[in-house]
Amino acid sequence: MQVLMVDDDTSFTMATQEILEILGHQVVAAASVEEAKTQLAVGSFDILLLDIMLPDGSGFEVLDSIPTSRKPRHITFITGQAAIKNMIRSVAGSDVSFLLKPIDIDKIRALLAKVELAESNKDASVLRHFGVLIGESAPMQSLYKMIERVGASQANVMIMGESGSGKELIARAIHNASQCEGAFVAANCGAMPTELIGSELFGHEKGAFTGAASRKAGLFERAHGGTLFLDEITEMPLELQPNLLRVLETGRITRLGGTQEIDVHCRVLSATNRTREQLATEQCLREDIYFRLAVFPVQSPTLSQRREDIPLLCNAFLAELNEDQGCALTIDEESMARLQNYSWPGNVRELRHAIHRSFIMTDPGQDNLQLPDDLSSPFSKELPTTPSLAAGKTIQEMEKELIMATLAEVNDDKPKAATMLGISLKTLYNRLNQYENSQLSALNSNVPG
Amino acid sequence: MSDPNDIAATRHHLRNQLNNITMNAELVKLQIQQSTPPEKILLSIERMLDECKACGEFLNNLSDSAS
Repeated sequence: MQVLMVDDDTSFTMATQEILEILGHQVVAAASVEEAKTQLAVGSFDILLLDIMLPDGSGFEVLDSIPTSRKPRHITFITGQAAIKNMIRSVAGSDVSFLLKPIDIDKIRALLAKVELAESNKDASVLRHFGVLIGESAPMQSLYKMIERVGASQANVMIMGESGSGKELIARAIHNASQCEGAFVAANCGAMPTELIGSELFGHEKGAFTGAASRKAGLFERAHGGTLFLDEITEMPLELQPNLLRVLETGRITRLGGTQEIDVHCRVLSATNRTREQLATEQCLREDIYFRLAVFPVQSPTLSQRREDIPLLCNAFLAELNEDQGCALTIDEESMARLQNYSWPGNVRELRHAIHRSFIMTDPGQDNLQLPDDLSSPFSKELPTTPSLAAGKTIQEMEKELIMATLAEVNDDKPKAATMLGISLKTLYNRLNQYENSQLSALNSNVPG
Repeated sequence: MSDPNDIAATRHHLRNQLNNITMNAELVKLQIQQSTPPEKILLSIERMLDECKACGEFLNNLSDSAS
């Protein structure tokens, strides 16, 4: 990296310059405001190390003189007083960091690492596939391939995936990939009152029903030449689904209260958080509609299936918040590891929420995002382990699973667990001893003789 | 020396000198790890000693003015 160091203390400047050079960076030194201005006018720097008190003025004058096009990517003030950090931030903006004297090599290394991390974060936040999707993992790469293929066709797509996994973004990506001229119109079938679904989808003529004060174009008309995205398609009442089927088959709609058929050409994307099995067993979607809507079914990967994308997503969300709030928070390695190790049952939506919550909770003046002790939210908590009924398990195995799950639920409170299980405390202890003994004998049998 | 301004100025001065000694010591450590020519290492040590000397003089003046 290119570093401009502005300080009039020769002994300090020479030592720092040599240290940075040994660490592989190029350093230019300036001992005054004027020298710094000259350097900034001709050179381009990644880091500006700036003393506040200079012989011919202050470090702030140096900052003011920097043309926007030549602003170093990172500005660090060198000061001996931690107390003036906030004062400097109020003058120079929050997008600065500090090296507090006495400085040692660890502080220098930490600063360099932070700048490099911020740079990689910045780069990462930029890459959005099809303008919206973030992630470079294998599941996302195969998703991108599918989007590219389906984008070139006119096929209707059904996007399946867990809640919060980004189904609407996939829909937008497909719309973007298709480069059609019409609009992207999104609607949530679960949010439409049953009696208004027809009017919302197909529009209505003036006076079609009480309250229809004027003619209204429906979602299909608005999406003409573009994409209609119907989220939570399985929430549409079964009895209304034949109306949708008819439009999908004929490409024509009739507004409520109208007599004239109108041609509509739009791709219909739909989404559901039900699995294929649920679609088949729960009878929430007519079979004929499914085949019309899911010409090309796409699965939205869960966040736990693409853990390697978590840093990219976190940095992208944080970059948005930083930009909105004029901050420069970063995520340190320890926090990133925690974020990457959490299960995220609520998927990307939960991750975004956690970053936002942490951003708000981070103390002013901190450089790193401070995560809460507990990352989970009330709705995202994983369900307590319940015994999974599966053929092939013995009754003893099921019993053990139930006992262990109950103990976990009551924080190992054995009397409480016994009450919940409907057995005596003595029986519970007997079972636990039994499990312990069988575990010990299993261990002993594995010890080479 | 009870004037808070004097105390602040003294602290600032000593902190800067301590900082320069620290940075030059860090440099020497790195130079040795990098097998830098001894004459270059000596220059860093000279700077360190100069800072120590200046620091000593400053402390002497300080105790003289206090007495």
